[in-house]
Amino acid sequence: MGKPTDLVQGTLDLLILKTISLEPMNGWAIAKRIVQVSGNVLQVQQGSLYPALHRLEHQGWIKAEWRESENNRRARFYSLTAAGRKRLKSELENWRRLSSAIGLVIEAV
Amino acid sequence: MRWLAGLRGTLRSLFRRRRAEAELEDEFRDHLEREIESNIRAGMAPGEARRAALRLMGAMALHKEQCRDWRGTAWVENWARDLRYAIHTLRRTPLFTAAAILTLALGIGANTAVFTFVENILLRQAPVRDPGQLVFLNWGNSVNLSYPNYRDFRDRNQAFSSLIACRYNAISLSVPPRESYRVYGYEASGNYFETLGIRPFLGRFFGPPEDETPGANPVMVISHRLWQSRFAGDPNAVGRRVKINGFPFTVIGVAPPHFGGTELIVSADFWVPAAMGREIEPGYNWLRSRYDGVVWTIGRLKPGITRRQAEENLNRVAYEIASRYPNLFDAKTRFHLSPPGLIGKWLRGPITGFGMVLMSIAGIVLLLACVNLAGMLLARGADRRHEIGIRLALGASKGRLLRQLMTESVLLAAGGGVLGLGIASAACRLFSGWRIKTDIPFETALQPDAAVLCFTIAAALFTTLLFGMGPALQAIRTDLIPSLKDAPLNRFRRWSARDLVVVAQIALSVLLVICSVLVVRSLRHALTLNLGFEPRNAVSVSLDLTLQGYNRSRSLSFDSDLLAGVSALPGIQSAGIIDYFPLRTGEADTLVSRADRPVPRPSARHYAIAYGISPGYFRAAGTRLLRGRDIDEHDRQGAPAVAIVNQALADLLFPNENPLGKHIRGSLNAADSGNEIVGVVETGKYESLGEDPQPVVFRPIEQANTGQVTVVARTALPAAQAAQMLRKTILDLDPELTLYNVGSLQDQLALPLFPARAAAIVLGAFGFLAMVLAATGLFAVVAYAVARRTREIGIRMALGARPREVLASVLERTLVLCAVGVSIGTLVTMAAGRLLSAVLYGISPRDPATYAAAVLLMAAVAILACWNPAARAIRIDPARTLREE
Repeated sequence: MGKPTDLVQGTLDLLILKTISLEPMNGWAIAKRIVQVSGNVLQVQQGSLYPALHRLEHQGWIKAEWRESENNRRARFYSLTAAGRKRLKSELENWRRLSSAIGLVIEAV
Repeated sequence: MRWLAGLRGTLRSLFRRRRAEAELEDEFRDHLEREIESNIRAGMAPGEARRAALRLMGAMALHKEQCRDWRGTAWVENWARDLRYAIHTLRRTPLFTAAAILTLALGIGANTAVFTFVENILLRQAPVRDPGQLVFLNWGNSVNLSYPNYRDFRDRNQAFSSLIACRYNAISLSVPPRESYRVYGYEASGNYFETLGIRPFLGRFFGPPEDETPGANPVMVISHRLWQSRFAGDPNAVGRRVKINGFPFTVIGVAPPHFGGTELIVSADFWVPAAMGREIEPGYNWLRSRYDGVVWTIGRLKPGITRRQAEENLNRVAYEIASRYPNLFDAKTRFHLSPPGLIGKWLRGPITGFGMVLMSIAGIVLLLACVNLAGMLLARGADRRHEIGIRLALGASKGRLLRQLMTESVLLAAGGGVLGLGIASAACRLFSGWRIKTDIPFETALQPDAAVLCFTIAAALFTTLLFGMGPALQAIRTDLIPSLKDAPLNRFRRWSARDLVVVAQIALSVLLVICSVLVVRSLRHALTLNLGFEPRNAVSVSLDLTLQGYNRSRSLSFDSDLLAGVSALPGIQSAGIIDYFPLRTGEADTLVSRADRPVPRPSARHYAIAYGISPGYFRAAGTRLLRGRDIDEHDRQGAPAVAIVNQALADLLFPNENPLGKHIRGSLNAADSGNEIVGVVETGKYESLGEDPQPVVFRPIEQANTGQVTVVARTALPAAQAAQMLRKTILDLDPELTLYNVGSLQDQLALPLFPARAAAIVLGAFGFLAMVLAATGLFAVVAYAVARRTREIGIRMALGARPREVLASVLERTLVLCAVGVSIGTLVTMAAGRLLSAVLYGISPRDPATYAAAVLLMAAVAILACWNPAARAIRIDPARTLREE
């Protein structure tokens, strides 16, 4: 598997925002989802997910609430706020522009 | 909006810290459980599942900490923790803490006290409307204008919305049922109150119409203080009939509390219209005297007019006036505007100078205190090297440690600031309670206010940065390995920060000690100066015959009766009369020129102080007659006009000539044959102790009477008894008279000596403070240095070093540092000497004896400081110290 790919901060934010844009999720599920959807390429060190979640919450892009999850357990569920949705949109556009630009550079030889 | 959410989150989590903490724990636990379950489902053994989950989680404590950081309350929590930790650390070393706080308190207290003084005297403005627009008119070196000139300037200038004149004067006030007493206040122009824009506390103020016709409106406004003290706060005081110098006046109003005119130090207790000047001072019509400068002039600038423009305008008006009155103005004389409050330039200059000297000395004391403390903290930092090393090794960030060390410093500074404020307010109370023995209402109350508080806080913060930053940076720059092994850093051959601190400490102390010794010696010098009279064994009483309406002939006969009466008293060796006694207020200036030369141009004119004296005055005052004769009973009205001059005047007008028999003129009249000089007396001090030799002319009271009387009697009797005899003799002649300045000449020197005494006390205190700080600072640093070397000394002793060698090695370093510090301090002081020479008299700013004394003193302090630790060092038992380590 090799060394897990380092996630630069901005990218992790994007991944988190995108992941919870479908439905509210708890931290563990977010981590699992990112690993799973990326086909085990993106390895999140699970602990470092939480500071990012708390930061995004502090910044007002996501909100958290304690909810019952399956089999009567309580978990902290994160969901996007309206501001977060806008943020996700602009982050996505940024990302697409950046990645297509990088694509152009590395394909052009 | 986002920041609002953040703020809300911060506040919420601040108040629900415990719950937030529990939720954080829950969240991480929940995550781990899910991961473990998922691992078990994937087929791992429970132990293995748990280990894998933890591995994937990473450094959980760190992540939690990072989460807490995003709660937004981290800084508050960290700060609170730092504070708790700092308090704990400081309490563990009570001696250090007490010494540090006391050192800072002395430094901050001294500065706060000096700042309070400066703020109260120099910066505070009179309680009037828009005080910033008010300016005091200085004309050349004079603060006075004549009243007719004032009126011309008032009517012709274009720069002022109004211009007021006021004449500070003493009156004899009688409020019917009681005896009369002397009160100081203003004869003021009618626009005085409306220009200042204040409202009466009771009754009303007078206005311009009441100042139009001379003698027409005998009305009086009294100060709130006078109303309280002499009218017992009577609400019906308005309308009361009183007498000023025997002339009936009516009280029409009471000024608001704390208002004593625009000038802060000499405050006024009454105001009457200037048009009443003749009634108050019978026989002296200053209202019409074009050539006598008698009033202070204060103006309110028109909006948008700068001081420079106003000065230009006044100079132009002066030029116009001068063209009408020959010999009135000199072309070189210029107007200069200064803020009111300190009688124009007259007091502002000297007080500003004194204030600046005090501020700089207090600043140096604070710097010294900081250096001291920095030294103590450096030593302490070295002690804590081990602790700091451990914390760095455990992953504490340097910023975090720095913050913690600075928290300690801030705590110390806060303690020092609070205690310093206490010290300063005690010092100010002491100063305010200091009453000078004079009847002029001097206002010396110092009131600390919000500005002072801000200053203290700023001083405390500044000191924190100054003394705390260096040691804190030094402390966290620790190399981990040696500090963890607790090995003594054997690098002290190099100059360390501590050495620099010692040098700076000694240099600053030398600077302060030399300065204070110089100033104190110069003041002592001033006190033993030849005053031109002998203050011991003499008493005097003053009175003002013009206040009781005496005319010239009544005055003269009163004078001779008084002199005869006093001379006949038992125990009185000699007695004499002078109109105004030197070194008090009131003496008059006169033009002096040689009668054998033409009337000099304005710029070449000399002025002298003029006194009127009776025969026998010089003997009674103890003034030495150098040449010629004293005046006698033949020098009366109608006889040839004579004068006695002092040596300074003789030197000025008759250099290398015998002045006896020459004539001097006191007017611009070329036909005036002047007064013949019949005697020369020694030069004394007349206006202030610090003055340069002043030319003075004494004329017989028979020939130049002012109605002012100070009778001086030389006696071996106790002063109180002799003064009582004098008082009785005078009141037997006329029981209506108001007497003032009753007592020994020595007591009455209190006022002229006040600035010198105040300076001597303050600077002496600063010098002493500097010495104490230097000694304690040095002692702490040296003692610490020796203590650090205990192990090394033990090894040396064990290896057979003799005590003398060990002692030498301990002393050597300190003495080298001392020598360097003393040299730097001496050089800096010599360089600064030129600044100091402005406040010194009778002593050179490079007086070698003072330097030698200060250097010896500092050397003694240094040796004493290292003697005890050194002596302890050689008594060290080698075996024990080695075992201890």
